[in-house]
Amino acid sequence: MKNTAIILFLVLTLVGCNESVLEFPVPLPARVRVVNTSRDADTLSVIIDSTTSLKVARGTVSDITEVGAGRPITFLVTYRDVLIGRDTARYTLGAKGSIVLFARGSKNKLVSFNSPVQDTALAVDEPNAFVKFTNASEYDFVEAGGLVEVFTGTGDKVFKEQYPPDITSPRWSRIAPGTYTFILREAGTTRELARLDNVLLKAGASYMLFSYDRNPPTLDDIGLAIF
Amino acid sequence: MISIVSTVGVLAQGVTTGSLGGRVQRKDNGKTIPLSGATVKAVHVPTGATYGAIVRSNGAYTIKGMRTGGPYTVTASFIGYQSQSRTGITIRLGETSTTDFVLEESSTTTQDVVVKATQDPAFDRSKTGSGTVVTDQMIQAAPTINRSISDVARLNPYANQVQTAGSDGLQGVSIGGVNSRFNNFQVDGAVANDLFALSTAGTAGGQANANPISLDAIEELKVNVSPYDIRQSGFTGGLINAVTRGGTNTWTGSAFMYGRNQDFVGASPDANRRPFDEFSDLQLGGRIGGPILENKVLFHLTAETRQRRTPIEVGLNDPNALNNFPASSSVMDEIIRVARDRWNYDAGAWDPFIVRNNTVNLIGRIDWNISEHHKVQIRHNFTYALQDRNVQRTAVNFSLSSQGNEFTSINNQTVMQWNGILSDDLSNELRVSFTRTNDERVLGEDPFPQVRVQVASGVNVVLGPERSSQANALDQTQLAITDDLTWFVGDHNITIGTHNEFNWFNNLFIQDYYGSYQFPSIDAFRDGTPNQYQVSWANESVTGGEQRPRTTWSMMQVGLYLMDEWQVNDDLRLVGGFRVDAPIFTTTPYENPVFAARFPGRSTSEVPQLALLYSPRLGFNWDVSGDRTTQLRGGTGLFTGRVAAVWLSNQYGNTGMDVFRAAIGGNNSQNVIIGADGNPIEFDLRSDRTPRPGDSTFPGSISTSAINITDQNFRMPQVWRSTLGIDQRLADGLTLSIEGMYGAFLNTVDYANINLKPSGIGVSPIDGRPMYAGENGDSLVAREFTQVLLLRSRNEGYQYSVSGSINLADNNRWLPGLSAMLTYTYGHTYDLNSGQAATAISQWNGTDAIDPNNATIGRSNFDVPHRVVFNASYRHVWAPGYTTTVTLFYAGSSGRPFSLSYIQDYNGDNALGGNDLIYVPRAEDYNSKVVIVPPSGTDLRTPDQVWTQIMDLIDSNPVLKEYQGQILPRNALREPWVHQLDLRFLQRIPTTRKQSLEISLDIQNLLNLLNAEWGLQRFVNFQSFNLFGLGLVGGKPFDEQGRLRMTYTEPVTNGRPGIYFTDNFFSRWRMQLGVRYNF
Repeated sequence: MKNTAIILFLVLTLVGCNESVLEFPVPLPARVRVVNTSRDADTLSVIIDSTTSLKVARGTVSDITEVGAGRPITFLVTYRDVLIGRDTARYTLGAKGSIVLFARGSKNKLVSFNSPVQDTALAVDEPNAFVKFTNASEYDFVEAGGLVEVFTGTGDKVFKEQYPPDITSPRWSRIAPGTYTFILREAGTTRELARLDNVLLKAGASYMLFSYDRNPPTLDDIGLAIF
Repeated sequence: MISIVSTVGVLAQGVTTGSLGGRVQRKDNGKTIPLSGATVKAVHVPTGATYGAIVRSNGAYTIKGMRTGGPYTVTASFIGYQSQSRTGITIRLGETSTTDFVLEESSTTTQDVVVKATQDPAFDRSKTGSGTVVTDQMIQAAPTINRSISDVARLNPYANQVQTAGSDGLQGVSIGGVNSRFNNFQVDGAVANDLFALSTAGTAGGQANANPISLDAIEELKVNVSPYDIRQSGFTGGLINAVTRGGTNTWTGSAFMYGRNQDFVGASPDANRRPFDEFSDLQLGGRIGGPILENKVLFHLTAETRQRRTPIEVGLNDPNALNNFPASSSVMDEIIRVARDRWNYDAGAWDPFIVRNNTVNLIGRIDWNISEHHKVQIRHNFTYALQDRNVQRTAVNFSLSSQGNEFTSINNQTVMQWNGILSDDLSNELRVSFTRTNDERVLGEDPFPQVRVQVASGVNVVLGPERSSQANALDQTQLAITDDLTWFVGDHNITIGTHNEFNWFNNLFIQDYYGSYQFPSIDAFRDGTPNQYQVSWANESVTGGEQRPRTTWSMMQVGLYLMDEWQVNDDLRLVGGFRVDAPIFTTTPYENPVFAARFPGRSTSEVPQLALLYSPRLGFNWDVSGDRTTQLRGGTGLFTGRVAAVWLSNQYGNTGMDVFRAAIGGNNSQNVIIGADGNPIEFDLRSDRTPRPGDSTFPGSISTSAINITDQNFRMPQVWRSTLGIDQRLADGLTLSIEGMYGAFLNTVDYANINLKPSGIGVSPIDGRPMYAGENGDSLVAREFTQVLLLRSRNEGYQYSVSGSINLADNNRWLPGLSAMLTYTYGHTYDLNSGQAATAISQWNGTDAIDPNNATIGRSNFDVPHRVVFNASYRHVWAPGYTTTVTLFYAGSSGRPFSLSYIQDYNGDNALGGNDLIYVPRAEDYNSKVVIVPPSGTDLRTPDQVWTQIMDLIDSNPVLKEYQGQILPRNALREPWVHQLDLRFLQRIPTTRKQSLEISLDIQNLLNLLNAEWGLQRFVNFQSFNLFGLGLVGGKPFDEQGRLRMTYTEPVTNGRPGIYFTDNFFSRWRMQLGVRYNF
């Protein structure tokens, strides 16, 4: 029996090499941040790809988390253990890509992710900072069509465009390093909707400025945050 | 008793019986002289059946047509000489047992000589080809839960079990890397195949998951791969012959019960580790045999029933479930409500579905020993099976219970056999069998179309009778007559014989008889506005008013053969023969005049011309050492097989004359069908008459038909197989065998769609594959038809293998009671078409190809390059009658091969399902020959990221790297290695007299019981995966610069990255308890 067992072992070792079996190499992961700008869920639970779990308070952004790339992955969004978003939350991310996902909507209507934003790789010696803006609030000022604009505390317009809800600025705005105040205004007016003071912008870094509903369902109580 | 598996060659001397032969001689001055005229008498001790022969002038004697088994007592006698007897002789199925005598004059001894015989079947003179004998003892010791033929046939090194992935169904047996459809399964020499060949198991009743015969009724099983006996035919894979038990003079019997439930099945092979759902399996039966008239008339009866309830496991919105349907129960409730309130139809339920499977096997046999010269055997086998079918619940399709039907199968077979010794040098064997099989799918009483409601992209809830079951029944009848006349002359046994099969088929198969609808949403289902509709209906002017016309046709195959078995000398035996078979089609299909006009030279009514199929064979057995310790054996010859009758039936059922067909809309389209007025057409799903062209509510008047024809030069498949083997006795009870085999396939099955026109661009600028015209109006030769599928024969394909085995008999000197076998087989099989499907269209577009109309040989779907089989059985006797038997079976084999293809139609052949093999791009192809279609929507990757992913995948696999810059051949890749470890524990306890009680425990997939991560069986659906996508523009995959527009996303299967499904059933350990009482 001993000899038989040895022969069996040798044969299995010889032939058990799984030739031609197709296995898929794991791409380098993508980096994801989730921003909670949902109207009703003060704290969202987000399970990514059945493995990574995030808890994100309204108006805040999660830490950067690495997730699988190259294939559709599911983002399960729950609020107080109730599944409130799923079918619309499948993304395919590129290897080594960075992405920001804004959780939007109502717990009653299923949360979805809007405005996925790819980060931009910056040169190491870049002397400026870069800023983007996402309007994730539900501004209800009818006369202005819901549009908003972003200014610095010194009155400079940060972005050329006016933004309706759910829109992210299409380009990065180059801005000198320093400490800033950002002000959200109703488009075309001086009405201040939200303010964010003492924001330190460093050279060679990119930032996402975003607005959100601070106290839903009350409208026009808007917060401004940056990461 | 010898209980090893012999992988040595076999010369099958008779398909249901065995033979005895040898020499009777006397000594004269130290020399042996033939004792012509001596008498040899063999008595089958259990039944008293007596066989006799007269020794010929050269001292040789032969007795044919002997009942298998034993023990026999064989006596040689001659006036003036002392009689000699050998006891304990065993006659094996299809073999010639050799027993020689040297008699001494009466004056030199005072009493008859009785000697206990010793036999070694591995070194019988009659062995030439390759085969395995599985004895009664081995059958009893084999680990099995389904108690199926395949669980014992797998002991043959060439025989690989073929399972229906994810089901609890019976497994078929692929032999030599060939589809089980090309096997010939016989019971007592009578064909017991599933002739129409719709079941995976390949045996009668297999479609309803029924064993063709109770395992208890089988006394011996033989798996032949290359029997050079010219009488053996009807296969290009292998021949499996089961011989049934017969009665004896002693009343014996057995009653058994085997059972299991969900607690005897392992947890789900997913993250949930859920216990198996409600499940039960109970097998009850028994057998009894005895004398009706001692030594004269004996009977044996076996009865068995099985009641099985198997759950269909699926998760709803459960990403951790292995099989997850991504919709909620509320969605299904809504569909059920719409069906009820809007269409007055009970769509059934979405609750867990339990599949019923009930079977009954009855077999009775009577042996009549008329005289020493004449024996008659009559047998009847009855099988009934019922199974719930067609409720499918996968990640993309969820059947409500109304999809299901009861599949019933009834099989009756009667066999009569006469073995006669006509004179001292002439014997005859006549066998007549009559078989009827009736299969039917029984629907509910409320006819309704099949309805698919899309609930997400590519995800459907399905209700109503399954479209292929709406009119589906099959009756098969076969009469087979075989007669073999053998003439013993000198050292020659010359056999002339005939085998004739007459087959009648009566097939009802009208897909979409009640119609099939697909709706893009629940609202569309409510509105009756589908995005796809298919229907078939009878052309009553041809069918004579019959609305459900059946395809009735018949054919026969007559065979004549001549064989000479020549014992050249004591050490060399030759067998040579010549056989001619002639398939004859006796029914003419409908003539379609439109087809004849469009395709000059072809006709739907033409059947294959009569063609004679020749099978010459030559085999030999050479005792190299002269003392039967080294044996060389082999041979070469042609074997003529058969094709699945359904492939031939397709022509009769698809002439475009008796049944019309219409299909409108697009699969998975979001656009509902629009009428002439520009508005969605509302269909009445409750209409008395299925909507069809010509109706006021039906858009357009297009009715198309698929035509199936068979080439006039079509031939039944053949294989020219040659083997050479050597058997070496290493020690008493220990044998080493090495064997090589090469086979060349002739008349291989092949298909072409001759309704396809070539495209203007000729070949692909990327890889040179032929391009067809695609979906534009010029793509078809005749627009009246969809496909015109031609079944034809081509002489391509081959197989080769080398096998080594070590056998240890249980009478070995090291550990008596232990028998073991270790075999390793290396081989490959290449074919044109592996014959996986039933319909012609699936046969054609289900075979991935560079050019589907000119297939090239590739690895067979059943190709197994490496296979290791280890079987060890140890029997320990604690005290008289108290025995414990433990059997361990291991089979490890390469995974099945599979192909990689495109999701979309690359070459414009209009084939659905992705049959176009991928081109494996090189790094330098990027933006020169290949471009990546920019991802959009929720795919946030850049084209560069997609390309990097593709290159990383190709770089990681040696086969893909090897074929960079080329088209990947069919079945170039493999599923993971498969390990199967099974165990059987059997305890026998004596009771009163010679009666005993047996308790058994069978465990299959023992590895999974030891570790939840072991024993997992992973597979690729249909052995083809659509890996790359194409960005089609105007039906073409190229951009303006002729570059291939590709897409790619890493696949996800069972919710996990990769392409392998994990088999939800065979990946679990399974266990069964049994109790048996022997009396």
